[in-house]
Amino acid sequence: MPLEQSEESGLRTLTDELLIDLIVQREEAALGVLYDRYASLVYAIALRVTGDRQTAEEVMQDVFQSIWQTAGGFQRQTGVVAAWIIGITRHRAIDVLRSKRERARHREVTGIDVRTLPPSAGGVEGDVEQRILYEAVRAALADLPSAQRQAIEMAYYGGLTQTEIAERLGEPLGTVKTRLRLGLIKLRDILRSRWE
Amino acid sequence: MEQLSGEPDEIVDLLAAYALDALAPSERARVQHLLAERPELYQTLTELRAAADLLPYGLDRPALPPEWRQRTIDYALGRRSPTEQSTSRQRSSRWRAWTIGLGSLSTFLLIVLLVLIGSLNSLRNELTIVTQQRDQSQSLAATAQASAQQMMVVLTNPTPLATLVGDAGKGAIFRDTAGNVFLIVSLPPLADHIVYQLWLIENNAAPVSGGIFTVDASGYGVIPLPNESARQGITLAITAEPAPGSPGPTGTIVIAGQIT
Repeated sequence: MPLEQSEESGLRTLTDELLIDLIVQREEAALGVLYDRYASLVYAIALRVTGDRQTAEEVMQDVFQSIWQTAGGFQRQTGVVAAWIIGITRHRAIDVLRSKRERARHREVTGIDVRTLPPSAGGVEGDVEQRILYEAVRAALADLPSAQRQAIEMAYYGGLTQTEIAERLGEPLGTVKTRLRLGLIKLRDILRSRWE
Repeated sequence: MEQLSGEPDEIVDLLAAYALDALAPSERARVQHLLAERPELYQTLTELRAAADLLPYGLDRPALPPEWRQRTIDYALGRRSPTEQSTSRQRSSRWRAWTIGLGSLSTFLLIVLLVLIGSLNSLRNELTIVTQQRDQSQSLAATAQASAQQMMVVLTNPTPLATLVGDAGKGAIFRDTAGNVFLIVSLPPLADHIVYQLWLIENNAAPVSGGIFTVDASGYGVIPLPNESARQGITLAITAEPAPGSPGPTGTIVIAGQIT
């Protein structure tokens, strides 16, 4: 049955946490509103991790199914809804990625240029806070030395261990450890300085 | 670049890789052991995790085709499965072929076929259960990461309203810039049927439950609290109780503290 737009419009001003409460009560209009808020972010992460548009869409469907099925679990151990959704997406996408790797170990997975993606139609622009966050993270990443940024992205989006990163880059393990440490500390310092 | 409380590089290397999920299982166990020995390292780990969890916000977000919305919601609610739809079409074609072929087969083979179908259904049910368990595990892991991100808020307001201490671990209560009150704890993980329960004690009155919570595999937990729990003079104590919590404390106090 299609969702009633009037039902959803009444939910659009609710916080993420209240939407999750409604999803626990099997209110599917709440899932629609949550989709409108997060689908593009979920898809962007899935695409960044898997490098395949069709797979990314499948991951996105799995993520919203997981939200529908496990929202009650989120209430029991409360966190931030956005980070919870990002975490589900990343874990699911990396799971898929690892399955793919087992079938095709030679495939390069970390070289996707997200700059080639079309910009959002308005979701990001309509949310000032999200836009500020976007700019802050982009700027922080741009400030990192490219080798550190690459190592961090291979770990976070590629689901690789530091040993696997060293093997793929042909670098000593110690070098990769240092890049991850220095890169993440610098990222933390840059982002923290923007909130202080 | 700010130093991390003078920690050796080897330890910060481990924490950074742990925050990025870039450790092998044996290395993860080593970090968890280290955290159990030195809970003060949770602060550094939380900061690094919070930084890592902000990475996706830097991704460009593509505009999604409008038809994906209903398709995704239908899939989430179990009303539609694109892969199953095409599979069912294939299954239907195969079934017609089987029907023609079965006309010439003996009753014995038909029985064998039925037994096989029964086995396949059983396998499918098992697969469904495994898939649900996987989703629940991913959801729990994601929740733990979400809690870590909330620590980012703490970074802007690092003075706790109260510190809870005890032999089993420690905790602190913070108020964020939006006025929300929450408790951050480092406590031993519990068995499935046990939960931690927060108790609020005011003016020697009977303890009032402030809610139940669990911690993640590394013992880390963030719990939002009602604003009234942050009134000056209130004593807070945490006990381990049988799930889903008790009307009054039955376990020994693991950590406790007072709002100052």
